[in-house]
Amino acid sequence: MPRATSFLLLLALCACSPSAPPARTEPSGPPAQRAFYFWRTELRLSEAELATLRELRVARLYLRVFDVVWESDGVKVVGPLTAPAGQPRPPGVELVPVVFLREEILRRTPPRELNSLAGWLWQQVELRARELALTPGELQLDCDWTDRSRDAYFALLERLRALAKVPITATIRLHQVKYRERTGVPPVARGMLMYYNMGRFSADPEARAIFDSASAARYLSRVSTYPLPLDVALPIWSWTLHLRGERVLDVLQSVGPEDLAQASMLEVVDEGRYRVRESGFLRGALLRQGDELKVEVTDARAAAEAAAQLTPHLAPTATARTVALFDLSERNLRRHDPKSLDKLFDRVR
Amino acid sequence: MTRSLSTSSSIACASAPRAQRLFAGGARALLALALALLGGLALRGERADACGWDGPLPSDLTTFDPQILDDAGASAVAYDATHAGFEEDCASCAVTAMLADWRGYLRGAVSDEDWEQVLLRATEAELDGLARGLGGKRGAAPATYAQSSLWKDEASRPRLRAALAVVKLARQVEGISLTPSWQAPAERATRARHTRMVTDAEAGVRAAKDPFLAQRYAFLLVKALFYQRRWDEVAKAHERLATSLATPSTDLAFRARYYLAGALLRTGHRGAANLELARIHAAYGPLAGATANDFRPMEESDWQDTLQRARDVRERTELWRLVGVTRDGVVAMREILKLDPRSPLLALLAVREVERAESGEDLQRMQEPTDARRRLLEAPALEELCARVAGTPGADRPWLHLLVAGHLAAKRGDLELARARLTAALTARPDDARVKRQARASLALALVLDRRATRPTAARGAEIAAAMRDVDEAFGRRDKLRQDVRGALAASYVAAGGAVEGELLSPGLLERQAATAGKWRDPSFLRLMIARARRAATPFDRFLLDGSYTVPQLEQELALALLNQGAFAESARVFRAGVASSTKLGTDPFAMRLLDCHDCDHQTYENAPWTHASVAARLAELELVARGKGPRAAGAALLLGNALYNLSWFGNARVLLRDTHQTQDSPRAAERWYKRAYEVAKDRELRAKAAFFAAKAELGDLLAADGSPHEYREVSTLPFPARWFSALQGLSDTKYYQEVLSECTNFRAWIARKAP
Repeated sequence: MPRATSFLLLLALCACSPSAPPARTEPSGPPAQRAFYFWRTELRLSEAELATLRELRVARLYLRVFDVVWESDGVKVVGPLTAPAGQPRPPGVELVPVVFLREEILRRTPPRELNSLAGWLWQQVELRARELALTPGELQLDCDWTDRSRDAYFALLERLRALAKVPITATIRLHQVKYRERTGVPPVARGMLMYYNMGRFSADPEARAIFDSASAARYLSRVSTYPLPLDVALPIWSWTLHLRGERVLDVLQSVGPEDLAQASMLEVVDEGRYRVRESGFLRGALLRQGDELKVEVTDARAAAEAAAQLTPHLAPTATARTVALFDLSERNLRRHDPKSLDKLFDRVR
Repeated sequence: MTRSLSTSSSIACASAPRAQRLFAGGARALLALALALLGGLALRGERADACGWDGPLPSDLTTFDPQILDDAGASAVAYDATHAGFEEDCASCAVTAMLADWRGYLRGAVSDEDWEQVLLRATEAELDGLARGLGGKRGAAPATYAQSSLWKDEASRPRLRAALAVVKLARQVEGISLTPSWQAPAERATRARHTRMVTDAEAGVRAAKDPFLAQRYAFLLVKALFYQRRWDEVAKAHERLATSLATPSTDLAFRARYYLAGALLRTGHRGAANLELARIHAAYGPLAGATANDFRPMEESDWQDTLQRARDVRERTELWRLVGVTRDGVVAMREILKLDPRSPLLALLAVREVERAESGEDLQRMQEPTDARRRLLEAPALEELCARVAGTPGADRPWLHLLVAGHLAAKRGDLELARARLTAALTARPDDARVKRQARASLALALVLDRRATRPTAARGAEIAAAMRDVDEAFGRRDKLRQDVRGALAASYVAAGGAVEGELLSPGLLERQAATAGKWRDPSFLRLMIARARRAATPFDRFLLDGSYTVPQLEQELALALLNQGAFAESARVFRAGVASSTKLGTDPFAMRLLDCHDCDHQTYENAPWTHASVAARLAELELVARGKGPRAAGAALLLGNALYNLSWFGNARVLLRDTHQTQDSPRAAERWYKRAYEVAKDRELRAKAAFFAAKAELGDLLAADGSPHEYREVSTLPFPARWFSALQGLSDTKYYQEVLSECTNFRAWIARKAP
């Protein structure tokens, strides 16, 4: 599930309009089907991760199996998910392949070649599924499509639907819900509403890019009328912004306060704010003396707030909704204990 | 996708070239194959960067000339926004080098062209057929190779068969190294096939008597193991076959080390992998780009491990150089300064960083640079550092660091400090022409950007002119420098009320600003421009006029501005003086058609004698007559209308105003003269003609008022020039009316709409 993409677009489209009154005040309907996203490149689950899946009765694991990007003169698979031999699989958990598709591909591919793109894509999914020893019962496409690429994307989805013979689902971003007349509604069985990536990257200590309830509120009014059954993805991750003065230089993915507390090159200047005392490498970034790091944590309270804000706006669905947390990692589980995650799953129906 | 994901396109770890460009399909395919044989498919992106870029070049963006570096290999680190790598070569270069390698082995047994066919294009089946043919079964050889020079020398056949065996194995290894792509989905070879490749390569190494073949088999073994993800075995094979891998091809030796680095990385030896990548980067240009992309310290601990593994200070500075090239030049320079102030890498990184700061490259990752000031946000740290290096006893080329620091001081408007540093650099290198050029260039910038200057002065102008005079053609950033210096000075002149100087310094400046956009249509302003352009006594005058408008151009502008405003006699007088430019128009501005046809008229009147000057003279004559009475006045007014219509966008003589600042989108002026012709004429045919031409002018004016006179419009969407169509309708008894009715769709539609 892409996280840092399309912020600018979101901001640009983010005209202020009052939210409609919530459609529901209390969660209703059958309990949600519980899921996690798994967004690493190696399918190796730790004991703690396996235990969490068991304890929380997680039914599905969405596996990013590869990205499709445009390189030089054609599309290309990058970052394929691999599975070391002998690694235990979570028993009773359905594994759903997810393919992240760069929007650029849709703009660059001539309409006449969409069929062959779909064929190639499905071939790659089957290949990866064989290597991972999984039998897909669903394929999820993750793409931040826009009005410029909607026709190509929807044609690709149609074709995939015919080829795959399993339900195709797609991630849905908030701007695609709000501006559905422009971006269209994808021809898929269900949508996975990504309830995060709504703020802006900023050195401002108050600014939040993962989940910001004020920003989210601007998009809520049209959620209940979205013409697809919606599953929900909620954030539980944290990251760190690398700042130089007022500029955001980079995002250090999956780096939280616990990582920074151990780094001797850093000193705390404020809550969630660190200054680089001595230049050095941290998670692949070269931090320069005097740079600052701003940690953006999605803690249990923030995740619960996201769920509580969204739930009243969700239209009831005929079948149980899936609630997927992004993403499964020991780092995130340390911040979100099973009890809080159990409650989080229960908040959304 | 926001997380760092390892990519299958890169040998050691995830990375894509920073600037990617499209690459011609045929060349790419050829290159892919060639590199597959060489073992460098991971380099496709890097190589592709060498071709087809049409964006801005560093020379378009920066004013510090990297030619100041005279080191061997300076180009390898000079910042170039268009290159992901550092010593890029091209598709044909790789093929040429590979063929040269083989030429040494084949010793003329086959022609270059025929071997290229085998090496790059033969299929596995064809290779088998050729091998059988060379083994005596000539009939087994593919027919397409019947005329090949492969067969000419019986004695060379064993050598050729050995070569074919290598090519066949390379082709098989290529099959697993190719990343699946949309165009040609690669099929995964079976496990048995993989194993056979490895055993064949092992056997090849053992059996090879010739070091050339031994090296190639050893290389293919390392490559096959790598793409089979047998990382530990890659390292072991590399160690075991070190002698075979080392010679005779330097290229293969380094590519094998590149695979080793990739395997080390995959087995968790990041410190060792990064060191190996840095060594290859430093020693072998063709892989410099790829290794820089793959070089990826993650944590301070693995980086310290890399540094500790380095053999000596030089290697450590080279490691920091790579950090500087790929991550942060300022941090790298600080560390190199601590290690060895005499290191030439300090100067290389300083120049690279000043290029990067000026072009704003570092900001493009997350934020587009929006103005020059933002682009230079990285500059203060670099300036401080270069000043420190310059002041460090024993530092390499302190004068170069003074130049960089002086240049950056100039860019932020600190004239005093810039001057001091630039003077010190010049004093240190009094006979170095490159230093003088850069120092004078930077001083010119300092003078125009001086934040304490309130308005342009003669003394300042003289100093700028003198500095710019010293920056000759040999300065690699001359165009950009000239543009920046003249642009900044022009802005300060305009701000101080010197629009004339501003426009002469930076042609087009006035039109780009709403407040001054009308100046070019003001004859009094044009006369001031002409007067200023005639003064060329001082060096500053000459600098001001260098490459700017000429007096004949300005005189022509004045004459055409007057003509465009209806002052025909005055316009003619300016042309008569003989200074204003005047050329043949290749059309007849006085001719008129019922239906306009710009290109037809240019064809018909290609040899017409009309020039800018003669048109103005004729307009002046016609005006005198048209202001009289009778048929002559009516005829003259009609011709005046024609000329004014024709020099508008809709007519056949807009060439009259081309390449000037004068424009005439609307033929409104023509309508006035047609009206006069209509009013003065007694002849109903002439009146009908005047009415219809006036209607054309009225229509042109309506379209111009619509804001889109230049756009093609379907006739059915045109507005009706109702005022003059009505006048023409009153002349329905004329022959010309019937002609219009027959030819003009718009008029017919108007009549039809009016019909009861």
